[in-house]
Amino acid sequence: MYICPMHSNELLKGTLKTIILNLLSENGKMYGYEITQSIKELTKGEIQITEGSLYPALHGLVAEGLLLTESVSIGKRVRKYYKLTKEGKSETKKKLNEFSDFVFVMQGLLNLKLAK
Amino acid sequence: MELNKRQIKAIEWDIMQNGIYHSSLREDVLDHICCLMEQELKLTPDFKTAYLKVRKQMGSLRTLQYNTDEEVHSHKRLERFVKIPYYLCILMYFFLGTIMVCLPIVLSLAYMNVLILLGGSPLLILGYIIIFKRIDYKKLDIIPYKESFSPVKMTF
Repeated sequence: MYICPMHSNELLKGTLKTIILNLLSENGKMYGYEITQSIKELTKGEIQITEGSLYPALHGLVAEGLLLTESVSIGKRVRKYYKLTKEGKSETKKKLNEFSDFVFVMQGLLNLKLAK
Repeated sequence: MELNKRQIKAIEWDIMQNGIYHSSLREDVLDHICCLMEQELKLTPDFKTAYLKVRKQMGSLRTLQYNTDEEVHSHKRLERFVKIPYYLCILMYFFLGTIMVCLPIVLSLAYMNVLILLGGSPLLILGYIIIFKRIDYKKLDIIPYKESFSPVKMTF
């Protein structure tokens, strides 16, 4: 479940994996909590990803072979970092292009003007 | 404020009790809760109160485990379509091999079994590498509860 005060959850469905992949391509490796905080900061709190949607997506991406994990011992617990595989890097580019095309088409279809 | 070992064990035990049985997902959730707890303890110094707050905001862990399984296994379904023909090939391979060795007709095709062995083995090894080694999803390791943990009494 996403928590997004201004945007409909329906609009965000299907974009979570693209968001995660893009974040990882920009930051190298990240852990779950860091990803949620990063999304919150980048969107100024407009979009908050809950654990209930983040971890299934992350594990799904691992199963698809797009992400790798790296466990690091942090004091008394283990922290799992996620990073892109080679396949993941090319998939990120593909998904970003796909999303960009989608936005362009929707703009034309709905006759929207970009705000700001 | 950093959590101590006992508190971490207590959280781990609680999330297991609440349905997170994959060790991989458990590591994620445990670290996530610990991060949230470290933030929450700054505002609410009492561990039990802070933990209840964090757990409330996290929602159902069973649903989280279920959704993760669904997400992971949706990618595994495709593999099944590949695995079944692969297993059939193995069966046929051994079946043919047995026939070649056992039947008297082998006498006229003396080296057929050797040829099948030579031709089939690389294909079987290739199939094995493609199917079983490509997806390294060791996170699917389901550790039975009693083996992986000795329950720690929840004392806050």
